[in-house]
Amino acid sequence: MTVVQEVTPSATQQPEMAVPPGRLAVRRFMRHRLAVVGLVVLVLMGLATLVLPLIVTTDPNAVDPTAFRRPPSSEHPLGTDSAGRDVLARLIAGGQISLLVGLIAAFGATVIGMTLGAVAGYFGGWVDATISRLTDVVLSFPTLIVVIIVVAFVGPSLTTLVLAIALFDWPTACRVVRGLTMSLRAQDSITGVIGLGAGPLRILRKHVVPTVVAPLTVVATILVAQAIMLEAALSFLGLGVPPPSASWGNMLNEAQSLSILESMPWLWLPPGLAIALTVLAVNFVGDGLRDAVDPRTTR
Amino acid sequence: MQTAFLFDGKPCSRKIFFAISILGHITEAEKEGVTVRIRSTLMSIGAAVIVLAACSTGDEPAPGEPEGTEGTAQDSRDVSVQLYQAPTSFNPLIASIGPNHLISQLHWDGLVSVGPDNEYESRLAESWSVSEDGMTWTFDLRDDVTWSDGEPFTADDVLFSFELYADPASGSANAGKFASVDGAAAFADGEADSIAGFTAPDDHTFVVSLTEPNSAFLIDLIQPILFILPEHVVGEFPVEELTDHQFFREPTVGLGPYVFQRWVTDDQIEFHPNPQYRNELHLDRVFAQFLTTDVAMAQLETGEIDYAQVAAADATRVEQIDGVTLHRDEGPGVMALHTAHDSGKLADVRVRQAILHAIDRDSLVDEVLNGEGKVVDTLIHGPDWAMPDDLTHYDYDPARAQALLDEAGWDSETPVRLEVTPGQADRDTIVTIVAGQLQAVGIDATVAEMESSVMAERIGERDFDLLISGYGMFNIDPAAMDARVKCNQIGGSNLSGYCNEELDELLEQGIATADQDERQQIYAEAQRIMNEEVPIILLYSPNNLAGTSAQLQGFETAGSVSNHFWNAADWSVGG
Repeated sequence: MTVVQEVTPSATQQPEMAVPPGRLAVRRFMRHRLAVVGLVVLVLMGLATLVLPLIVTTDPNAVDPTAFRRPPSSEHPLGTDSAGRDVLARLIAGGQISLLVGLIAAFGATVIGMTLGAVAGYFGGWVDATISRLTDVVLSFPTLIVVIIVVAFVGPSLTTLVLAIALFDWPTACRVVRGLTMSLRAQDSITGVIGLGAGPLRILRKHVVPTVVAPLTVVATILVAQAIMLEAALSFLGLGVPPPSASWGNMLNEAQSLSILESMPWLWLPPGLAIALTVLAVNFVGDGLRDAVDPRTTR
Repeated sequence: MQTAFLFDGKPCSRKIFFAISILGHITEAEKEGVTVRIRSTLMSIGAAVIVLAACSTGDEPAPGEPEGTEGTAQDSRDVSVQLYQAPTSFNPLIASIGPNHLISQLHWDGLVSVGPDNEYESRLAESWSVSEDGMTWTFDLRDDVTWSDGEPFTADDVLFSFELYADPASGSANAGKFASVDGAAAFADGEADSIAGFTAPDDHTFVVSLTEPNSAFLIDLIQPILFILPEHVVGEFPVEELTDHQFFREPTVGLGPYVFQRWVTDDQIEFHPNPQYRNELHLDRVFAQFLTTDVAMAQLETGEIDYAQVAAADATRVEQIDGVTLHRDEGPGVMALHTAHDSGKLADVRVRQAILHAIDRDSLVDEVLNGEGKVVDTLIHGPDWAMPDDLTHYDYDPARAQALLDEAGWDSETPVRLEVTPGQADRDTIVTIVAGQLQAVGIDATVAEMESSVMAERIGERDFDLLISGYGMFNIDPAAMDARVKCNQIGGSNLSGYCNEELDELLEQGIATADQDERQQIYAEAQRIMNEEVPIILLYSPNNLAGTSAQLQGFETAGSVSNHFWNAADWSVGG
């Protein structure tokens, strides 16, 4: 933080031009307080799901009919659910699954979006027209509804869930990449490289990917938040992670009962808070990243 | 973000419901499993919306409510009742499922049913008598009954219906019950066109002649109730086509107090009063709708529904809701696990005993059911004389369970499915726990959720490992167990396909004997066999719990939960 304070805020870009762009971005990011907090929260969350299972050794799927919906106690720090399972252990196991689903699905959506966007932007013409209309079509459906239908047809499983989210969440990434590729394609330097005999694959790999990677990270972050929310919504509806595996969404499933909603907050508050915190944190980090990589923001 | 709109509030929830109902509609034509998941999704969204509405004291009617009904309006004479699974048909010939039995109680009528004191209740049969040798049963029918289309109800309708029930060609799941009727064998072989043992000497008398005495013939008529069908309508249809006949989906003629009007949605039915009903009716419309426990509880609280089954864990809470009455009585039925004995997977009796030892049934009842039930070791729990006191109690003993499994050479890799139709909160929780406890002793158990229609298919294909089902009225006469375990009931109520000749012989003797002391001996022996052989893995006998709103007056429980609409003719609105 000392570095940040030493830099005098300036209205022009001149003084910052001397600093390498990478470090400049980090500096801009660090200036975004909420983004830093978000990043810390995310890192802690990730660590918790990895480290805590070593400390909390209770089996998240071990049932116990003698401990039905017990409030928090020293034995069960977050109480037990309807099958007598330890809520803390399930929260941790659920975190692993929810975060994993979020990350993998968002990564998948980003890769699909990037590939399609780069192809559309580079080749233009009918290829672009086809991919752009496809993007429009996918964008015009409400993702949740489409994913519900897909999962209902195929049957709920972890793979279906990840694939379904990835297959319907890519258009944002696609549009961003398409735009950047198009403007890049029009640049003289690229025309020059083509003149020197570089094929499309080489240009996409050597020139397009490095250019889009920064803005794409921003999009990907937001996709992670969306994917985590989608997973939670689907699992809440019984179409996500199949039981008995825990996920934050299917832990919330229990809150469908009014008795639980009104008098047993330990069953739904922890997963609810975990989802809210994670999504909020991811979105803040996304905000920070956007400011950091956008050359138009000067501060 | 698409997920956010779910929680936006009332105006949005409407649109969503609309959108999703359309989706539900589109997929209806597709394979069953899909509609199921869509349906359960709808339920969950419904729950979320209702919970939100309840929290935000919204006064606009919930989207699921039928047009023009105001559940809370004082002057309305409409009543909405919950069905705990989706209804599929009004066909009483096919294997009975709870929701179909309930809607049939509104639409059809039977000779007898069970009343609130666990005694036979007169319905279409005003009185009945049995000859001294126990071989001839005579039913005197009411003479003031008319079908809803104005045709008179006569003994011919009864004769016609009983011949259908005894004829496997009609798709009857109850044909096995009439093996001892005079002439049934000749009819089955095609040597006779009708069954000699069924006669209608006049318009209001129906007589059944048996080849062997049966002192417990009535029990076969009430679980499920053998509803009487209109000969002047159903008689026109080819017998072979009855199973899937459209008439049973949308019947145009009825005999019960409230007759079918229309399917409002795939799982909601509207009933109107039968204009020809023998007594004055007090309701204008009855809506019967499938709702999961959680949704039903929320709707009971907001007054959108007037009758719902109550989960044991919610009983205390429901008692405290203003304007809601909790009905509680000791259930006559059981909750049990069934395996397809013909599949051979759990053929070794030691495996079945091990399963009983692996499950902590006492804690299930005390904790999960909040004491609303009792652990049972035999199907029969009444009358007192019929219950032996020397049965083995399979207590919770995982070590013993493991030892039995080892003895039986059980392979821990063998997958065992726990089949369940989700929606009833208590049962859903129980299967999760049972699966966990079976895993703990080395049985690779997983919960397999399936819709009732898929479940019916699996039963037909004899492809289930541990199917959980609750049923029965086992407190009237011990012969009530016959239908569940007798060899000739396979394909009907003998779900697990169990067949034991020694047991069969005892059960035959049991109904042929009139003397109570002798019967006591016979049934004690029969239950000892059941207790030892574990053909059905009994978990517990749950209390019957139902909640009714102030709008619904005159509701009374009798028998099992699938018999709850037995006195619908007496229902009225309060306030």
